[in-house]
Formats: sequence, structure tokens, C-alpha cells
Amino acid sequence: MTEQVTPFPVWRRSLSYEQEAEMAERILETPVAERVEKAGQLRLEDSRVLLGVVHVLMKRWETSPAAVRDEAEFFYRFVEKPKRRIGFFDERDYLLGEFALIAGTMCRGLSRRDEARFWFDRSESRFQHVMGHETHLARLSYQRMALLIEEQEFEAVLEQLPKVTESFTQLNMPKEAMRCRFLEAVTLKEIERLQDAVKVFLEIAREAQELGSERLVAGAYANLLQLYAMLGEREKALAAANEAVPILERLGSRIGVAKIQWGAACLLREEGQLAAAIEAYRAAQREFAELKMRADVAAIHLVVADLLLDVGQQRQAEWEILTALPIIEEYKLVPEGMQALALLRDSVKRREIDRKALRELHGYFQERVAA
Amino acid sequence: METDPVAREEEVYSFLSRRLRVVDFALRSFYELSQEEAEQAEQRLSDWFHFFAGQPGWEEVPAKDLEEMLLVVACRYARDSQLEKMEGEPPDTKLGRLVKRAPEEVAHKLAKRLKEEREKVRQEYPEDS
Repeated sequence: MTEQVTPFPVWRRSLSYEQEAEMAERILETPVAERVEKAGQLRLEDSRVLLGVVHVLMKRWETSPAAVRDEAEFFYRFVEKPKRRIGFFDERDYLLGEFALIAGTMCRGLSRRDEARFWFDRSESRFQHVMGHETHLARLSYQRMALLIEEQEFEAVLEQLPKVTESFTQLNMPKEAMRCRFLEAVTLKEIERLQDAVKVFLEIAREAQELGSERLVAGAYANLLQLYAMLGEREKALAAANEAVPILERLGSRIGVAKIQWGAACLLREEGQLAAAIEAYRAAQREFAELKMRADVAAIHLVVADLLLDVGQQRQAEWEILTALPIIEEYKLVPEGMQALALLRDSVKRREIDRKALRELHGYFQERVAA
Repeated sequence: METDPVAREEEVYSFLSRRLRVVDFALRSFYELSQEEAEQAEQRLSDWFHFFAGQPGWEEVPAKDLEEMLLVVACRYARDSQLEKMEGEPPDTKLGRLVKRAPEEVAHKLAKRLKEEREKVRQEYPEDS
């Protein structure tokens, strides 16, 4: 009964990885309106091809989060109804859970938080039925933690994070455990324990290098750039940027590159180079606008407004604020900052911008989760 | 280095090739599937296992650590097939009693037995392990 090597064709994948990836790309290139009609030809009901789609979407989520969200929703709906026979065991439930998780993750990045929660709940209900659900539920918990950070629920994050980290460690998933440390560092940054955050990010950068996870290395250095900028440590900030940029470019991470531009803008602002800082913020803002990350666009409007007031451009600052306010309201971005929001809105109407309210408001956006 | 899917595919194939006899044993000797039924089951299990081992979250876990999962699915598949033939009412036979047991429990015992056998081999022939 013990093991012997038995080369038997059945154990070979009936579709190689390359074929799977190729089919997935072909599906994604096909206009949505034509896909259902061509389902057979595109092998849309083949679980392995759909897993290929999952991998392609995951590769694209730092380049086009809005499009990935829409695609994930399409595939979720396709697999869900009518009830199709996909795979023979738990493949259908897994795919529904994964597409819902991708849609939720993208919604989180796009600050569509209610929608993110909705997708995460769907993902949970599907993952509960699959083999090895502990792993997928832990991945889902990670995304929920990240959402809590964006909602400024730092105490809850620090309380729940050790449990999630422990789950990943027990499941033999060191990279995921490290991503939890990433959330811990982001939280430390948010609660202004800057030196502690630096320490954790430096550890992450070193350990991620050892694990061979370029994405985490780049994410850690991108955050270090911002932290050193906030601490006024120019040389270290530039060194961090030099580490992060080549990796982000190689990975094609547009979100990462935009965050680097944001970090560089922070550095210039701390150094008092206000005009250059405004330019750098605008460059980051253009990138976020293209990525449809409207919360980041709004945050930058507020920071730029603050800088414009420093250089005496009151009217332009008013315009920046008036552009940001509808986005903040539409996305309910600062439920905890409603008072500051109201004060700022009134002050703009009176044409006497309330700096305290403005700073309080853009403080809520400090930096958003990158991992 | 991030996960290399081609290397993963080979790792999974190599793992499955080594486990064929164990899976076949579970399907035919334990659950009394016919050769034809067992072959069909093995094709499906192979597809499922490649799918499972390629999922985000599992793709970095060594294939050998996923052995029990494979056995659980094999036992579940075989149990369901036999239960269907028995029209949901297992008789009081050796197979009927096995079918009444949770496939997870059967798979766990099988995995444990395999582990013990491997350990025995390792102790007897340390130079080969």
C-alpha cells in the first residue's frame, strides 16, 4: 500500500498551466456581452479555466481595481445562476467564495465599504463549504482587518490581529502571517507610533526578502518612505523609495507607484518645498483618478488645499475642497469626522476656510492600507 | 520568488504519481469500487487535486502536506457512490458499516497508517530516506 512512483497519465493535468492561463486571458478579452453565448467555446464552465481567471484577476488588481471588481462580479453571477455543474466536488463553492473575495477586496480599495462588507459576507458563506476552508476564511479575515483599518477601528484591529496571524502560522502560511504584521505596522502608523511602525516595516522588509515575496518588500519600503518623510529623515526616505520603485515597476503595480509619489510629496512638504510638493501630490492624484480610487483623490484634494492656503491661494484651495466634499459624502468616507466635515463645508461657504477642520479631515485619510 | 505555477504543476503531478496506489487501495479495497469506477474516480480526483493545490492560499503549501485532504475527498467520493447504489440505506455488511462511517474519519486513519509505515521504513532503511 505504500508509495511507489506510478507514472499514470490520469494524474497529469488535463489542461496545463499555460493553457489555463491562455484560456483565462481569452475569456477576459471577450466582451462581457458575448461571453455567455460563447460559454462552451470559452470553456467558461471549466473549473480549471475559472481558476486561471482568478489568478489573472489577482495579478491585475494593482493595475485596474475597478475593472477587476466588475469582472469578479461577472464571474460570481455567472457561476451562481443558473446553478451550473462546475467541477465534481467543491469547486463551485470555492469559485463563488473566491470571486466574492476578489470583488470585496477591490471594493475595499475603491472605498466602497458597504459593498465590500456585502461581498465578504457572501464569500464567507461559500468558503464555509469547501475543503480546507480554514485557509480561505483566514484570508477573508485579513481583508476584514484591512477594512477595519480604513474605518479607523484601530483598537479592534490590534485586538483581533494576533488571532488572525496565529491562524496563518498554524496553517503554515508565512507570507500571509507577514501580511498581518503589515497591518499591524499600518495601524501603528495611523495611531502615530511612528518609530514602532518603522521598526516593524524594517523587519517585514528583511523577512519578506528571505521569503522571496517582492510584493511585501516593496510595500514595506513604500510605507517606510512615508514614515521617514513624516519623521523628517530625508536620506532614509529616499533610500526607501530607491528600494521600492524598481520592484513596483517590475510588478506593474500602479497603486504602489502612486503611493510612492504620495510619499515623495509628503517628503517635499516636510522640507518646505511647497510648490514641488503640490506637483507631486497632483501626479499621485492623477494616477489614483485613473485607477478610480476616489477616496485617495479626495484625500489629496484636501492636502493640496491645505498647502495652497500656505502659499496664499485661497480661491484655488476653496475649489479643491469643493471638489473633495461630494466624494467624501458619497462614499461616506469619514463617518467619525462628520463634525469636521460640516465645519469645513460651512467655512467654505463663508469663504473663510477653517484650517483646523480641514486638517482634522485630511488626517482621517493619512495613509490607506497598501498590503 | 513568488510561486512558480509550472514548478507547482510538476510538484503536484509527482506527488499524485506517488500516491496512486494509496488512493486506489482506498477506493477498491476499502470501498469496493470496481476497476472502471475507480479509474473514473481517479481522473476526477486528479482534476480536483490540481485545482485545489493551485488555489491562492494553498498554492504555497507543499503538496505532500495535502495528502489527507486528497484522501478525504477520495473517501467521500467512494462513500457517496456506494451510498447511491445502496439507495441511501447501507446494509449490515462490512461495506455498509464502512459507508456509515464519516469519510474524514476513514481518511484520517488511513493517513495515520501511512505515516506510521513510512516512519517504519525510515527507521529500517535510514540511508534511503
